[in-house]
Amino acid sequence: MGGYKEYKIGIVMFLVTFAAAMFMTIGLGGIYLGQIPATQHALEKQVHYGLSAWSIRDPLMKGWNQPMVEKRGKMIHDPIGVGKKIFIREGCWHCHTLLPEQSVDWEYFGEPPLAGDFVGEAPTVIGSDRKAPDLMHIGSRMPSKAWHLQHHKDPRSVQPKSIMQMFDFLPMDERRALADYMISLK
Amino acid sequence: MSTATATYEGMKPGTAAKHAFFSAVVWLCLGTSFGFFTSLRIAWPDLLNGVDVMGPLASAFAFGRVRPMHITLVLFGWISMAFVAAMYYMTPALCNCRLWSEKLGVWNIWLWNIGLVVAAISLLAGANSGREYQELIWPIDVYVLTLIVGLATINVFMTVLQRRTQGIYITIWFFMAALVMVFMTYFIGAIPDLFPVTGLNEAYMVWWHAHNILGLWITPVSAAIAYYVVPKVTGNVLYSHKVGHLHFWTIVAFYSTPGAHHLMGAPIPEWMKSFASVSGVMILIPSLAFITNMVLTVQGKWHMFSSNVSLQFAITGTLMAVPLNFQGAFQQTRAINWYIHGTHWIVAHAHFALLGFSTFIEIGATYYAVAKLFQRKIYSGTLATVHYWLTTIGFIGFWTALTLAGLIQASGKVYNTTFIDVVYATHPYMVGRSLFGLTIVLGQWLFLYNLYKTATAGEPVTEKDAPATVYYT
Repeated sequence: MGGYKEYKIGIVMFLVTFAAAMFMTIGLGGIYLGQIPATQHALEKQVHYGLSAWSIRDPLMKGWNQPMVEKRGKMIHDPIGVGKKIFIREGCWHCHTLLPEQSVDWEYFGEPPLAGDFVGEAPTVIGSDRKAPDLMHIGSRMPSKAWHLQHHKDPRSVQPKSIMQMFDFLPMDERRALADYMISLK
Repeated sequence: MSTATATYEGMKPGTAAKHAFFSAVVWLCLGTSFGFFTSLRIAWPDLLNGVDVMGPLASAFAFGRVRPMHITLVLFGWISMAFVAAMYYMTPALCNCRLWSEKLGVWNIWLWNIGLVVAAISLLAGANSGREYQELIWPIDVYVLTLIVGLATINVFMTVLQRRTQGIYITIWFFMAALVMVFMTYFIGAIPDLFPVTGLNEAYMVWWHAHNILGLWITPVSAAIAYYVVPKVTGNVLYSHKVGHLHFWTIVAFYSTPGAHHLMGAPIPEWMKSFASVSGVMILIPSLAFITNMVLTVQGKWHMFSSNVSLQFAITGTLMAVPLNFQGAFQQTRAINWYIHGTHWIVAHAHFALLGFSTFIEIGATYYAVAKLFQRKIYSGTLATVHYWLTTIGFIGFWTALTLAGLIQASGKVYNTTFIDVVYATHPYMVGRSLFGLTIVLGQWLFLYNLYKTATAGEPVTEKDAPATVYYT
């Protein structure tokens, strides 16, 4: 009694089965997905976003480790990258998708992305359940920065039926960065 | 008797399980309450605007920050902790020995509680990894893998190692396998946090994790708990160990493979989608094996369904798995997925699995184990029945409201309806969801009260190992 001796075969079978299932999905799938070449669009996103994931150098997700750009003679963190970070931090992706699906969505939200469009991006935040419009091409549909600023401050002032919550608590520079990110999504 | 490795540290057997069950139920109450709060923000987005009390906390209680907290608290606070509570209670019971280390178990649960508090604060502060079901930042991921999953695994495996029974019962296979599988699953979900994995590979790992935290952790352990509670309460022998084998091996073989079906609309290769879709339908094999086994185990004892609250919850949860699994198996095929993907239908389905199936079985186990651990009758059978009906009616209403809202969204997608009109059309259902959600939340607070009173003021039971029926009023 005790011990695992009589379960040797079972343990080996379990590990082999589980490893095989993981190899077929994570292994083969991962190798395939890892070989997709980056598109021009993906490279442009990489330049703006930098690393969007939470990092120890930016614990409050304020965009402190986004790439630097020159704006009016000053070096600042790229507002598009900062905007994406705020998009992740505020959980916008819990309602807004960044993925017009390959089935019917393209008629309404525009072209679905190519596989290579995501290379170098993490997290991709392509979204969960869509309680709100897809944003992949929002910059083309709504190119006005002023509209986005107003919409984030008080969504119902521009769309009375909106159920989006107000983001009036965000500091002005963060709201500007978020709007910059929105209009960058062409 | 070789119990030299066992360390009791002056703690009564069952101490770790008691801490675990009570902590888990507190997280259940908090987690569902936060869920209710997020649902209010969808139904009435301006609800808290202009309330000065919010002040600097306005950002912390924004929808996008409370929603991941709801998920984290119910998934890792309630469901997973109740699983480990069940392991700390059932593993020694089935191995006819003591838990390897009560002290380690108590440490495990309190480190877990501390971890959840830190996780909740970090999420409210906006530190979010941006990956659904895996929202915790990587330092907390490492903490989860080592001090939460790691310690629980050591304790359960060492307990089985020193068992005093000849074989290992089906519940224990599932416990042990699931602990290994949840470690791997959580690790794969955390890989994009820990290593520079990007692009579709990142998305794929995230959704593989989101699928398998259910497939390889919540489904098998819920079933394992039912495999213990149902035969124990009814006094019947498990209907078939062979069917149990079928259940176990098909879970290990098929349940992890359909991760890609969450990305049916994404530009991943067709072969991955087809493979995921076909293996997704095969999930019906383990789930039907489990349901059959449980329902046939109750043969001849169906009258207990109305008299024993543990069985009532456990069997309701098991029967919920019938529609749940048929829905799950077929909604991920391409013929249906394009229609309902990304709608409230999916939210309803997720709650079906976590609330309808898993939580019901765990509540059954909690009533059973708490009565046993404290050697007392459940304080109030009436309250337990009220809890049952609040949760059941609340859940069915909740699910119906969300499913209907999902169908509205889906048809809006097909007919190219202006998006905002769809949002407006689903509003009454969002209000309905909040109301039924409140019903569920009230039920859980009654549950906590009932358990607290059971532990402190329940009628003591003196028989050493009386049948479970004794423990109910």
